[in-house]
Amino acid sequence: MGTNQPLTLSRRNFLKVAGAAAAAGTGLIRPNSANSATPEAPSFESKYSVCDMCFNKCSLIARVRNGVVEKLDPNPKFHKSRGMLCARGNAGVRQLYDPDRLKSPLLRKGERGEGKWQRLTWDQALDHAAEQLLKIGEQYTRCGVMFMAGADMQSTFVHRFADVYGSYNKLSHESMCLIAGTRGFLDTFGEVPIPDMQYTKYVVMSGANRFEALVTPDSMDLMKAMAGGCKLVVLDPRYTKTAALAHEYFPVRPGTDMAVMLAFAHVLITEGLYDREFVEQKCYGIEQLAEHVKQYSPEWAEKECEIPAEAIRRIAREMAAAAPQAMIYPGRRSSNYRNSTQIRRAYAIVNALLGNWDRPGGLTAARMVGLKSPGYDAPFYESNPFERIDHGVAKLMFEEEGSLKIARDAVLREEPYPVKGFFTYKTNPMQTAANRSKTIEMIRKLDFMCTVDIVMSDTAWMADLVLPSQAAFERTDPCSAQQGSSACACVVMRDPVVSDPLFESKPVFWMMKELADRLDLGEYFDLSIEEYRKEQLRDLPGAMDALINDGVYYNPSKLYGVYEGRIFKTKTHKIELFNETYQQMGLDPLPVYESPTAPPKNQFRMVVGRTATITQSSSQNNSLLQEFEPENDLWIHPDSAAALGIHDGDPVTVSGKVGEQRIRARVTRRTRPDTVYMHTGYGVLSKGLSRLQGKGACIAQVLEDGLDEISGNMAMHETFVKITKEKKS
Amino acid sequence: MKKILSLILGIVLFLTSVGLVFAYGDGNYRKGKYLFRKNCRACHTEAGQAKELSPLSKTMAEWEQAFKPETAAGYPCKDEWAKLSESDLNDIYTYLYKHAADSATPAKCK
Amino acid sequence: MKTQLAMVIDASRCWDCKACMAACKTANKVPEGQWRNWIKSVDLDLVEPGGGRLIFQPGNCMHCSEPLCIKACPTGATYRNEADGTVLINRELCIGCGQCLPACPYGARFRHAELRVADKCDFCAERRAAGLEPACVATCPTKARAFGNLADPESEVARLLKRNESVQLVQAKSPTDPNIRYLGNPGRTDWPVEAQMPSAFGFWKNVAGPVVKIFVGFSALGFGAMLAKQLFLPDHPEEDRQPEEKRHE
Repeated sequence: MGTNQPLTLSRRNFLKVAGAAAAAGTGLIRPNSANSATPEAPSFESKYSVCDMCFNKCSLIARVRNGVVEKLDPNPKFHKSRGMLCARGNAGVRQLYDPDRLKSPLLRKGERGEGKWQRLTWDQALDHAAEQLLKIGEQYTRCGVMFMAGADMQSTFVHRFADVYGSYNKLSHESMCLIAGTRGFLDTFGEVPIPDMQYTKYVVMSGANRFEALVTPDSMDLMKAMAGGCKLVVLDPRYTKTAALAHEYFPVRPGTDMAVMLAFAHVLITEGLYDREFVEQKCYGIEQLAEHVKQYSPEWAEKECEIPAEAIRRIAREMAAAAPQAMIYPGRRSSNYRNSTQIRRAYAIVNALLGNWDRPGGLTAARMVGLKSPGYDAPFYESNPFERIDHGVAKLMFEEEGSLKIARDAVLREEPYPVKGFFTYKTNPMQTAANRSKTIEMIRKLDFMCTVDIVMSDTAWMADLVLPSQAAFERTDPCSAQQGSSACACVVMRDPVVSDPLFESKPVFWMMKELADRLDLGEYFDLSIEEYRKEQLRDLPGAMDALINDGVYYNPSKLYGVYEGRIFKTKTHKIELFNETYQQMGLDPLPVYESPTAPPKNQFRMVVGRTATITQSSSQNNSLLQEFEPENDLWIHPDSAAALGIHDGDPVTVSGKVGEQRIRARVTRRTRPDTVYMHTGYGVLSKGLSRLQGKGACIAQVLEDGLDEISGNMAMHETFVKITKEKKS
Repeated sequence: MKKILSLILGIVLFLTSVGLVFAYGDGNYRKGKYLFRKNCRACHTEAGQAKELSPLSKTMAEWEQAFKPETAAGYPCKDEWAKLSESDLNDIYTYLYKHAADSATPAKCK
Repeated sequence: MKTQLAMVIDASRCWDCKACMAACKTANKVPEGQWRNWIKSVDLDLVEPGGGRLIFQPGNCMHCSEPLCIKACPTGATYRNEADGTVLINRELCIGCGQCLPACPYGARFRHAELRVADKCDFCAERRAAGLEPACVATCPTKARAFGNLADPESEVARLLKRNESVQLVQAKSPTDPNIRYLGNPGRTDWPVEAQMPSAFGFWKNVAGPVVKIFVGFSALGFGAMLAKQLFLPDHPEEDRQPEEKRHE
C-alpha cells in the first residue's frame, strides 16, 4: 500500500487526469457537474442451479456473462435456505474456475503418494480401471472392491455401480459424521426427527455449533426464533460463535453431555414436569426410566459436567415450561465418543419427556416429498462372502453407510476376507478419517485404488488412478429430495450452468456407465439422467415445471400430527425410552453414564469442529475462502499455555499415540484448559493443492480412531495429546 | 387325482417345514433381496397387479404372520410360492423381517 | 425529499459467517487481501466466555450525507450521486493519491491493488442497474441487512426505522451523518477512529503507517478489524482488550 511517500503524480496517473479533464471539457464525462451516474445494466443470464460447497444443496441463481459464471446469488424462492447463500456458496465460483482442477485422467507412475503421474486418455483410463476391477473380482470376489462416495447428487450412481458390480462394501462419509446421532434417535423414535427450529421457544444445544456449522434451515430458523424470544442455551467445551450468541453458555467438560441429559430427565421426572399424557400414550418404559435416573441428580451431574446443579435444575424447569415448543437439539456430527449412540439416545429421551414429537416447535417426522428412487435388479454373485467386510463389530451398523473405521481395520487385517480394490468419489478420508497413518497403511494394502474428484485431494494423491470429475455447474444431475420441517419438503435439481466443461472432466455418471459397459453390466446403466429424473418425478406432476420456473418444487405435505393414528416404527410401536432390543443384544436399554477419563497430567483432549467458511476438507484451497482461514492453529487456553511457557503464535508440536504435527499456538480463552482444538483439512500431503502448501497441520494425523461400538461411528474425541513448545528457528 | 393329492401333500409338507425354518429367519438376506425382487416384485410394485410391498410395508410381527403356512396358503400367488425352494423363501423372509417397519434397520425396496 | 439509498442493519442477527464479505468480493471483483465490507466484534480470544450475548457488527461505506472523503479528494473523483444519495468514485478522475482513505473515519476506503485507484462499497451500483439488491443484502443468511430508499415511506428500510429504535455509528470529532442505520443494539456505537483530513501538517508521517496497518487489519477480518482500531488509538492500546466494557446484552 505504498502511501508512505511524498505525493507525486506518476506519469500514468497524470495522463489519466489530463485525459479525464480533457474529456470533461468536451462534456463526455461530467460526473461532478451532473452529480448523477447510473452504470450500464450488465447483461447477465440468470440460471438456477444447486450449490455444491457442502451437503446442504441450496438452490441458487448463477449470473452468467459470456458463458462465464460471474456471481452466484441465493434463490429467494428457496425456503429451505431461507433464500440465502453463505460464504462458501459465494465461493462456488472459485471452485468452478479453480486453477488446481484436475485436467485429465492420471495414472500413478512412482510410489503411492510420490506424485509422479502419467496422463491417460479416457479410453486408456477406463480400460485400465475395468481390467483391475475384473482382476480383483476374480481373485478375491466382487466384495474385494470397496466403494466410497461422498454427499453428492450423483453418488447414487456409484452405489448402483457397486451393487451391479457385486460389492456390498459400500461406504458413505456418514460413519465419520452423524450415524451415532441417527442411531440414537432412530432407536428411540423409530425415525430420525427433523427439528422445527422456526417455532421453537427453548433450545438446549449440546455438541452442535449451528451458527458456524450451518445447516439449512436450522441455523437461519434458530436465529429467527431467537429474534422472536426463543432462548438458546449452549453447552460446548469451545466458545464457538454459537456459544457467543447464546443466552447462556456452559463450557461443559468434554464427553459428559449424557450426564447433563440424565440430570434433565431426573428433574423432569422427579418434579413431575414431563408431559404425562404424551408419555403415557406414546412412550414405552417411563417406569424403568424413572427408576434409572433417580441416581442422576443435578448435584451428581455437576461433578461430572462442571455445570452448576442449580443451572441444570433451572434449565430443566424452563424447558418444561416452554414445552412442547422446547427441545434438546438433536445435532448432526456425532462422531465423538465410544458411547455417542447412547449419548444421543439420552438427548432423544429428554425430547420425548418434553412431549415435543410431531408438534410445532418440536421434533417433526420426515415429510412426504414423493420423489421416487428408481430401482434396478442387481445380479446376485454366489461366490461372494456372506457379509460386508465391516460386519459384526458394531451391533447396529447401518448397512447402507457402513463403518470406515471398522472397514479400514478389516482391510488391514485381511479379515474376514481380503479387500484389494478401493473406489472413491468426492470424499477425502485421508483428511477426514482419524488416524491418517492408518489410512495410508490401508491404501498400501490395496492392489488398485481409483479416485474421482475435481482436484487432487490428499485421497486422490494416494490413488493409482485419478479421474477428473466435472464441477457441479457443468453437470446434469438427478433430482434431490430435501427435508426442512416447517420450512419445506422439497425437490431440487441441477442443469448445466456453463456449456463447456473445463478440460477433460466428465461426470461420474458417465464414468460408471462406461465402466459398466466394459464389464458387461451395461444394461444397468442403460439410461440418461433426464430419463432417471422423469422416473424420480413420476408421482409429482408439475414438479418439473416448478423446478424449471422456480428452481425448486415444494410438496405441501402434512407437517404436524403425522403420527396421529399411526404406530411408531419401533419394536414396541411406541417411543422407546427403554429399548428392549438393546437389552436383547446385550446393550444398555437405558443410557448408562460412564465418566470419561480425564486427560493425563499435562495432556489435553483434542476435539473436532467446524466454521462457516470451511467444509470439512474440501474448501481450504479455495482462493476466496482461504482469505478467511489461511491456515489452522492450535487453540489452547491461556492458563495451559502459560504452564507450558507457550505464547500466542509460538510453533508447537502436538503429539498423540498415533501421530504428531507442528502447528502455531493460538492462545485463546475460547477453549477449556483441558481441551485443545484445530480446524480440519490443513497440513495436506498433496502437491496438487497449490494454495495449501506448507499451511497448518493435519488433525487426522493426530486423532486416534476410536469407535462407537453400537453404530460403528468413528469416535474422534477420544484422543489425548501433549503440546510441546518448539525452539524458534 | 393322485397328482393333486401329492401336490397338496407336498405343499402342506413344504409349508410346515418352511414354517420351521422361518422361525429362525437365518437366511441370506442379501440373496433374499435379490430373490424378492426377482420373484415378488414382478407383481408387488406400485404399478403391478398386486399390492406394492417393501420390507417396511409390514412390521416384524406382520411378516412373521404373512409367512405362516396357513396365511401363505391363502395367497393368490400360492402357486408361485410353491416354486420357491425352502432356502429361497427363508432368504426372502430374512430380508423382509430384517428391514421391517419396526426393525432396527427399516428399509424400502427401491 | 430526494432519494437516499441506505442500509438498515440488525447486528443482533449477525453470526459473523462472512457471507456478505464473500458475496461482495465476488460481485465487485475486489482483489485478494482487500475488502469493501467487514464484520467487527470484540476479540473473541480475549473475552470471558459465558458472560452474555456478543454482538457482531457488519458494515461498509456508510454513504454519509456529510462525507468527509469528498472534501479530501483533490480531483473531484469522489462525489455524491444526486440521483440516489450514494457516494461514488469516478475511477477516471481518481489519481490514487490516497488522501480520501484516512478522511473516512470508518476505514471504508482502500487503494485498489490492481487499478491503483480508491475503491469502496458503491451499494453494488452495477447490480442495482440490473434490478438486483446489493450482493451483501441478497446473500445474508439471517437477513440482517435491508436496503432501500429512506425517503420512500413504503420502503423496507423506512418501515424498519419507523417501527424500531435505530442508531448511527458516529465519530464524535468527525460526524458525517452516515446512511447505514443499525437497529437495536449494534454493539459499539461511538466510532473510535477519527477522520484525518489532508490539510493537517505532517499528514503522511502520522497517518500513512496506520493506514497501511488498518488494511492489514481488515484483511485479517473479525478480530483483525479490532486490532486495526487499536492501532489507530495508540493512547488507549488496552481499550479494546477490555472485554467487560464491550459486553452487550
